[in-house]
Amino acid sequence: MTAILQVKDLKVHFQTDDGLVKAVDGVSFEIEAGKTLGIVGESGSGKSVTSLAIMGLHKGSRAAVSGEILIDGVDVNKVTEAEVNKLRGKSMAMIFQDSLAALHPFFKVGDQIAEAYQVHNKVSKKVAKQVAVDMLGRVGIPNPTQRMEDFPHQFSGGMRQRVMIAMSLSCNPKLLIADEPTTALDVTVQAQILDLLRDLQREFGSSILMITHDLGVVAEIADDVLLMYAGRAIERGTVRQLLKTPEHPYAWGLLTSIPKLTGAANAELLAIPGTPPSLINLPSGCSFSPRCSYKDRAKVDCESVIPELAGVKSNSSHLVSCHISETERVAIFKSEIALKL
Amino acid sequence: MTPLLKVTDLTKHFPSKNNKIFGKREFVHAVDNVSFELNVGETLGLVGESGCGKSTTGRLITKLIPSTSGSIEFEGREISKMKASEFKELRPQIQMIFQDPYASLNPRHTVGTIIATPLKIHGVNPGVDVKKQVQELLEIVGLNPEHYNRYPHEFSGGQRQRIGIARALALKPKLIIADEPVSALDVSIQAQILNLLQSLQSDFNLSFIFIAHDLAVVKHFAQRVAVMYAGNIVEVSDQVSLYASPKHPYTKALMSAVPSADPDALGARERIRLSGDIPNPINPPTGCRFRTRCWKAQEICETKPPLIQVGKSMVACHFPES
Repeated sequence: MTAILQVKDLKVHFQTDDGLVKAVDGVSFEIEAGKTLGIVGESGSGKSVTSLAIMGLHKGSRAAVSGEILIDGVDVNKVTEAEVNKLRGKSMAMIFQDSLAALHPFFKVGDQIAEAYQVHNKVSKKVAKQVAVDMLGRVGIPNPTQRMEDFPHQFSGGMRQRVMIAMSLSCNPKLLIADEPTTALDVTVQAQILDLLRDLQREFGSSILMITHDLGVVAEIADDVLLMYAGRAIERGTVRQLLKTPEHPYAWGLLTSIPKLTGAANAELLAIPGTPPSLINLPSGCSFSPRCSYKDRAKVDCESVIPELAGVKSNSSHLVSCHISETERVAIFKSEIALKL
Repeated sequence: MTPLLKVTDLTKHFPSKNNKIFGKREFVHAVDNVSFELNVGETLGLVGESGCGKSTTGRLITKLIPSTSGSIEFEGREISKMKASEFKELRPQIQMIFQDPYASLNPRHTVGTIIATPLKIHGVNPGVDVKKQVQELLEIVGLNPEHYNRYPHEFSGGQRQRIGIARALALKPKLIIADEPVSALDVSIQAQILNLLQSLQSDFNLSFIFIAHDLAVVKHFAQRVAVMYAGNIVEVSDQVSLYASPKHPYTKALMSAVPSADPDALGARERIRLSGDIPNPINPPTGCRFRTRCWKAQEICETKPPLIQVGKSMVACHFPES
């Protein structure tokens, strides 16, 4: 299998008046053709900043981006804005969380999609408009010919997100980056949009990079998951590995702190104590160590040495960055965590 | 025993923004004939999607907005038609926690001032040292009492939500309306706040109306749950039977749409995909408001279904699930 996107040791740092903010600090991953990778993490974990770096959207800002971002053999990080622009549309496209803010309020949606298509394809306005009608129809908007003439505010939230998806897929990109595409939507509409993304992925064969904070959404749509905390990847594996046999104490904490629809109710949730660290003053060792309840089980000093992201013995595709030994982790998981999942 | 709160046929119609001076007046039917009861120490969850009227219901009960018709009885006293001056005496007993911890705290006031304001307005215990009382409240909600002089921007989202909770507790209320108190928070922080609310409930014997869109959070927190759709309550049930066997087709569809973090649950679950959007609240469908999207709808659904007892649930449907 060939990787559509390869990210190696990506770092995005912002110089601010208060100090250097290490929003993303050494993240590596790849996505294979036709697969979906979910990046999961809480606010401030660096997941959106990572996706903006892939789209080359930090160019011209104060961000210092280093590392390699290879898409179609081109390193987004090394080429000029104009060259990244050529990649946008056909190689990669993005949908954003807030569709009302991402669409221009003064222009009809049909014109906006047609314009995006014309930027990347040398066609007449008439052809581009026909593409827009086709795309709106394919994302399930009824009466696409009439709805073309409507403005973004005339659509409901779910329908507007469909318009964004139509625009992003109009040039048939190899990689679709979806940054929290369903977070602003109600659950029944979210289910519709996730179904749509799945169907379109089958039809267009795109790879999807799904940025979300919702482990449920990841379970529904992703093949692989990358879990981020304070700008670093701390666990990576298939959906099943990460959700059924998580290895990192942060992943345990996340899974046990979510209330569930099935099972006993009103039991106390196992909340993770404390709050995420400041990205200016990251802890010197493992960034999760101040909140970790199991750090005394490690043989290495978690507070001074940063753990490597390394494969677990039983399955080398499952990577975790933790000092606690694998046998110890399995024992903790079996005795304390598994029952609560 | 009189329930703490009894809401009967509560209705709120907002005048539509598109009303013309001489045209026919139109109304947004935000809440229509909503009835429920809440006992002391109990939590009633109000769930539904955006625009279903759950927040409006909360605001009607706290009298932040006046109701169009219907009654709200608090400890047997009708409050919906009370004047503000009469209601002031009851206000300390009904408090609210808001969704957005950024918008609901005045950025120019210190935390101490924010929490002390309700105490000052209602002149509670003038003899007691207000500062000491505020610091006790900060401690109860798990904040450092020394942070009394800090401003809201110095706190994280979860900590701000704790400040909002301390403010709601200041007057020792009996009923707290919590409007999406955890939906703006990350999951690890959300669990901390839910645990805090739960321990406060048992410590102070509080009753909650817990408004949320997240079914799993409501299941975790509430003993009884009312599901709302387009301004109506479609189902009320205790939390166990609602989730084990939803009776209203909408409840069933809503539950099947919730993504589960358990990969094994995905295949096992029956999926119902609703088509279309919620109806226009200016012109809601006659009869059952869900009939335009319901797969069971028949002619009879054009008449309004009464809320009837099916098993352990009250459900407003002509064809409830068995």
